[in-house]
Amino acid sequence: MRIFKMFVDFDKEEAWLNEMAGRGQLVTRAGLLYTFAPIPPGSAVIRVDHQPSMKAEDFDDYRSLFADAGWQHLAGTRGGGEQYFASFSGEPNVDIFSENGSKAQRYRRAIATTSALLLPLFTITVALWSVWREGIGNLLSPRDWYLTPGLWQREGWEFARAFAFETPFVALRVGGPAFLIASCLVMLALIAYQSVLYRRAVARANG
Amino acid sequence: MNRNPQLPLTETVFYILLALIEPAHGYVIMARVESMSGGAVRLAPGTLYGALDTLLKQNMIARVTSPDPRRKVYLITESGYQTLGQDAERMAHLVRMFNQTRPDQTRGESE
Repeated sequence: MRIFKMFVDFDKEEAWLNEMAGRGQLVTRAGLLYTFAPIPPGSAVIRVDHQPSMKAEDFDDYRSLFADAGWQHLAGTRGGGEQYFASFSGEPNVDIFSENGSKAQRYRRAIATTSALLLPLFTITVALWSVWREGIGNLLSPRDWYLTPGLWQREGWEFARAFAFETPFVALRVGGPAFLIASCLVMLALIAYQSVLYRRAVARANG
Repeated sequence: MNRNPQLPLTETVFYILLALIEPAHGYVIMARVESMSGGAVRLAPGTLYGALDTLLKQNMIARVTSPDPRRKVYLITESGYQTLGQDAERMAHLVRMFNQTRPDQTRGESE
């Protein structure tokens, strides 16, 4: 079974994955596209961690520690991001964190991961901004995007041909920057949300 | 007197440092802490992993060679041991103060 879903809140993601496990579906691949394999309903407890990218030996050590403590690694790569573990001990309240303070640190690591992605993207966007400004004109006025002289005064087939000819170039020239800017904005929003979740988790840990 | 800014240690960190007076990998640390605390402190792997990372950065523990390449082995450092000793003294002092001012003991002495 495959399900497309997106989570930022680890608690909500765990709740959903545990609900799936309760129905006999164990997550085997995660992150946007979740893949499941059948298990006896309710036999597993799922927990989610977040780690930065690791060297192969560090990733082995990380997974060995969890395995020794009774947690099977289900999904997640050493390239960084979410790590998914299952306990089949039958105890429903087991967790991979024994202190709420360390549980909150998941969000801090997630913020670091998002920031590490945002930084180069933002740098490229800013560096190319002056170049784009000349090429694009006003980003909010589509007519400025087309550079063919007198394009908008043409009519009929002549206009259609010139318009169709330039559109792919416009898509590259405007679509690229627009995509980069949109990506930066999405990541900024993501960091803001992760910060809210981090602060909430820390507040919970402190009483 | 300048106090070590790393004090006081949390109960978890104190036990982890105590467990690392002899070299150990993650699971051995968990087992030692659980047995030393009489089962009261059970470290979960995510919490231990984060604590080891922090202690490495604070130079309180260090990695030593491990016979098993899949499991890192740690040992307390000189500075980690000093911090542990300072915290033990801090707590011993607290216990002494408590014993001196315990109501039943004061009552016992005054009678």
